[in-house]
Amino acid sequence: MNYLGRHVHGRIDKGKKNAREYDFLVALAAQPNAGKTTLFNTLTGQTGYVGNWPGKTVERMEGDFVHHGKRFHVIDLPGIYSLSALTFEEFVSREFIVDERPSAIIVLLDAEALERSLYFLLQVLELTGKVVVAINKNDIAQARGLHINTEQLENELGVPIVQISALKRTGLGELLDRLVDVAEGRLGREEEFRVDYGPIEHYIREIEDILEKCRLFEKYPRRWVSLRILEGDIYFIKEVEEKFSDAAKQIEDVVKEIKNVYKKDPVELIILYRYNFVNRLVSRTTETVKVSERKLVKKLDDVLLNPLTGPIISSIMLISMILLAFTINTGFPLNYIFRSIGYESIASAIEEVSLSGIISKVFAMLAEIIREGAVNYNLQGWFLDLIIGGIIPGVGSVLTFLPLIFIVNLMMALLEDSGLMARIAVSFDRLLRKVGLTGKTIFPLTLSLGCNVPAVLGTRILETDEERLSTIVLMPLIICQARLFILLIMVSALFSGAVLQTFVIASVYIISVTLFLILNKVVSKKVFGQTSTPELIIELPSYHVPSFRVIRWISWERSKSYIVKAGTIIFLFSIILWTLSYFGPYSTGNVDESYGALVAKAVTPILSIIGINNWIVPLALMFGWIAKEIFIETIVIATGKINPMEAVSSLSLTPLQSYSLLMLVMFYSPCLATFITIFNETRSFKYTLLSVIISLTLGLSISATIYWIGCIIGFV
Amino acid sequence: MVDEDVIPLSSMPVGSKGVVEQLSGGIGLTRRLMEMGLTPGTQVEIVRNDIGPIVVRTRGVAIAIGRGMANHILVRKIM
Repeated sequence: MNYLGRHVHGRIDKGKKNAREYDFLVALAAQPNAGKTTLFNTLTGQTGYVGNWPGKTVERMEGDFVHHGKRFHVIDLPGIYSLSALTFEEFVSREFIVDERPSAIIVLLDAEALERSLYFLLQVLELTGKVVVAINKNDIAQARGLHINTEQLENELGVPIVQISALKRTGLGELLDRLVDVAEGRLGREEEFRVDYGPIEHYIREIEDILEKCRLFEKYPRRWVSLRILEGDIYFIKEVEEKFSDAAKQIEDVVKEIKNVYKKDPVELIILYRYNFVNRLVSRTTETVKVSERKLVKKLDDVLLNPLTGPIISSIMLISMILLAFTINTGFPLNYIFRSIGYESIASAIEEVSLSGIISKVFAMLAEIIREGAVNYNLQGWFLDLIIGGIIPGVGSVLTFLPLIFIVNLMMALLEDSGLMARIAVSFDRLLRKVGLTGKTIFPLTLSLGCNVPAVLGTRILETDEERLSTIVLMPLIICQARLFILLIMVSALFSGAVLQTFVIASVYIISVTLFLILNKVVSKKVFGQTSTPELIIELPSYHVPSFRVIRWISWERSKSYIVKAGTIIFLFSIILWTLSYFGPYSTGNVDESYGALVAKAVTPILSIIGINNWIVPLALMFGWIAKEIFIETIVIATGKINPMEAVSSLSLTPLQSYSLLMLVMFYSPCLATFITIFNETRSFKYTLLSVIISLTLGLSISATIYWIGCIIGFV
Repeated sequence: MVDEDVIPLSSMPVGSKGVVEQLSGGIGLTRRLMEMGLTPGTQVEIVRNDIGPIVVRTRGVAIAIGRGMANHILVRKIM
């Protein structure tokens, strides 16, 4: 909960307002798994885009639509279970409702989880009456025997209620009609809804009186703030403590009295009474007909939640996902398989049609066209070289990230939307709990094998700040696809024999995962102050056939939002490093005499710890920081060879030096894109630096240890 | 007072039903579970209980709960 300290005093600033004008600002609120993204995408179509809530990396979707000539701008609030401020998502949601005063809030209920949804709706209604309710998935609930009397529910709650299916796009016209009614003040509640909290009502009034005297929190409904304070809301309590210590003392006394009389924390009583209200509401407004259990769901769960078959099937799903992503992106490992059984032409064909293959081809062609144009017009000089050697590959290296990020986003969205994600998390929780992680961590870890960047972003699903930060800081230790390439090239060039090659590759992955797990135990406790193993609490939603339209949209928007943010910095650094490799004190356009080479030569002595004194290696490490694959590219350029294997072989390293260097290359630093993402996600330069220091220390010490042990036991 | 019918959620056999009596083990987790509908007085059905998280069905929703937390949820067996 330490985020509160950082945000308590800062107001949530207004988000990025769309340049277009609109008549009404509306918000969309729902609990997780209710189908909110589907409804959002259905309402806003192509106008929707993904951004972040200011100050923290919580996803925020915005978009526009028109109904009956009225223009709406809709903000999607994070999927949350309640409006208490336990998490930042809950905090931004309620602050948005209070500060931005949307003309209406669409609260989306999940008919499959009606009671829990109504609990959430009550919390919104306690804060504002400008609500239109949409009950989603009612068709599914009906098939299971649940019938909701919408009119009765409307009468009880005083706000319009519409049954919809976001997926099948039914009931949306009526929903929007009612939305206009609420926005224009014809429908909705004048006052906030009052739940009867029975015996604690008079305590609520006591708090209200205390607050009235201090004139605190006047922008919120007073009863609502009083409830929040009784629920132990740190945000409000801290402010009272700071401004009126007497009042804070009085409030404390009220809380103590409740605890004494009822032997329970007030928050438990409040939740209990709210749920009791929900129970009565449900019994008055719904009817349940007993229908037989759905066999297929039960069978699927029997297999996926079984302690033996669950982890096996989950692993198969995750591994095939990541292999598919690899293959679509770069052709690996399919190309490798075909090449090894002698079908060279098929292997190269696969590489060419892979997304990275296509992108790099387009950029190579672009560079060639400019080069030819320049020859025709007789242009030359450093500026031309900058365009061909710096800018075009710079843009290229930004764009080569896009396919991988898009594909992994797509696959994660698919797992989430289908309901499989929660089952996989449960499967892996058994194993990961032993090393102090929850089952949800398996997703960022799997993504990490593809690319550390989406993996760092993927830690957002983790429950506690401590677990999340620790995982982020250590993420660069997991070997990504770019490093797998370096590994394969170096192993093929420097080691002979299938057994030795396999041993080397396997050892790298084993060391990588072991380091991650061991260090996570240390870092989560010592750095982030985790006191106990985090507990998994996750809802297992019903299985659904995912909507490809929605998944494609959300994955694309997420990827785009990332590329825009990180792309500019990656591009900038590409240009800087190009400049370093192009200009030198004595000549230009010559890598050997460039400033970059000078720096590399200066730091070469450090590498004597692994017995290497070739300046090309530190140069490659330096440039490889932008994107790991540039490590190999730099060696190719600096050695003047054409084939990467030849280039690496020409460094003429002993097997021991090769193995030590390999370890250094694998672990020495997060790449630039990961570095930027870690900073964006943690908003902390300290943690970003910590991540770099851990990597660098490990890289140097592991490689040095291997080298010296090797030397001592007589390897060369 | 020893009440033999009140046992931790983690000791409930699969398929059995019970009523939540009490949640302890940290106000944060307790609160999260209660907000998901696992309030005292609510009926739960044990869907899975082997090794690892326990899966219960309550108010029409299936929730997986870490074993450590499940030890801190007391349930009165009904049969």
